[in-house]
Amino acid sequence: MAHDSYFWEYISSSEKKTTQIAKDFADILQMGDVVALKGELGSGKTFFVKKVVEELGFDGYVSSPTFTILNIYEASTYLYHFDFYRLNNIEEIEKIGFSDLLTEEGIFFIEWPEKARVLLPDEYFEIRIDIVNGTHRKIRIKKIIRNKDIPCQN
Amino acid sequence: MKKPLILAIETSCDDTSAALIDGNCNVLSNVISSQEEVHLKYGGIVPELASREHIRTLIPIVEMALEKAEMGLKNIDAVSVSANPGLIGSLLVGVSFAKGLAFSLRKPLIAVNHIFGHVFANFLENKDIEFPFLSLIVSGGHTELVIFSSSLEYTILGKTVDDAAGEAFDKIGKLLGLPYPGGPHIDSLAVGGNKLAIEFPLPMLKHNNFDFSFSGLKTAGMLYLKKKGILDEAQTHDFAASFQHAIVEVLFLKTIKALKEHSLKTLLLAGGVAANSELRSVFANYCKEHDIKLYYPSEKYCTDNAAMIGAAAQFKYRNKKFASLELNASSVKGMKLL
Repeated sequence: MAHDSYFWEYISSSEKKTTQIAKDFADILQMGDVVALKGELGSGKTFFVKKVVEELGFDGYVSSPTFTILNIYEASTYLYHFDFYRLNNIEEIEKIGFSDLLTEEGIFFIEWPEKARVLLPDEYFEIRIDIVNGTHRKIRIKKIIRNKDIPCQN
Repeated sequence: MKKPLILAIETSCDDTSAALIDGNCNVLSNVISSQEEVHLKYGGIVPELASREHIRTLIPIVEMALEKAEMGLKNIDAVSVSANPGLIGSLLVGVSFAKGLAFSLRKPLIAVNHIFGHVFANFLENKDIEFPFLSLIVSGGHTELVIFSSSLEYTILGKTVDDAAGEAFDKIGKLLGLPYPGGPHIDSLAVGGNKLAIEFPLPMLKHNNFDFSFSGLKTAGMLYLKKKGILDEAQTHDFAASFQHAIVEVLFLKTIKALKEHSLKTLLLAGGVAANSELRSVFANYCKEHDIKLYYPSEKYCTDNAAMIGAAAQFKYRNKKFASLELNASSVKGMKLL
């Protein structure tokens, strides 16, 4: 069973508006939070993470982790930026040490999380970005809470 | 062979490699585990497979490198390793091995930044390069403009604020259904295409700095392909030529701006995208006309290899810049020389 405790939806018409949405979102993040970002190639997942990470106090360069799979940024806490674009299955994700890394102190951002669904914690934020057109993006943010303990039926 | 003899190890991403380099930056051996076949199957570098491969292949590859160079461990004067940046699990295999070997041989350990390794790949085949120089490093993971005033002093002028140039090539290549990595295939497809057929945005050109951005260009390419649906052969050639031209144009214009502003007369290209034919040709023409010395590595030294790590290590050896055995691999973003 899963339910959404809250749900936000925005239409952003510019990078500037997306930046504001990302900054507002950053303000509610707490240590240990996991943020999964979904959206097709070019929808702006890395851009969104960049703006959140900047708001969280990292002042260096935030670039795409597609090649490295994981970028780590040092702010007031460690910020882990994963990108599973080139990974193919749970086994590969598990073996880069993903589950171990999730137990570290920090905040976690995951692009292309679809392949890691079962490895995600019971509670996490899901951000879905859809391309409306060249400049407009639909951004949906929800908190996913999964109940693993399903009551016994008999 | 001129001393010192340096054993170099590179495991930062997909390939395991070991090389022996002498004091004149001559390559005595350079062994690379080619995992292309595995990668072709998966449509991308497979880091975990790679990481597992490093553990399995590193020792045999070091042995092969020694054998090819007709050297033994006792001949080695230092052990060097690429220690950042890269995928942490992969880097750790090389770093741990190098530390153990240096300790057991009681020889110095030299930590090399992988990106600088790409730049110093140029010294493997050219012994007459003089400092200062500008270097443009372009690969699947990096896009940087760096001035080296000496082998140890450098200034980062600019870098990508989002995707690397090679990443834009590879991702658009995937959308075109090309095998991984897409860059060389787009390069071949561009031949016979009209590079002015499609006008793509030239990102960051109006910004008065040396940073790059290729994410917007990637998105523009993706949106174009989505709108057009399936391209016929001529359209595919035109698309490849135009997309490649946009990337090359941005790299070219920013680089020559840096050459002019800093009055530099030597340019080094480095990294996998430095093998791109249009990139090489526009720089060759410009440098010839403007009396600038241009260097780029041959293709085998453009992609990841240990020889380039050995070349960079030679300069650190000369300056006695050794690492302690507490050296750790780092995937934290940054360009520290270590």
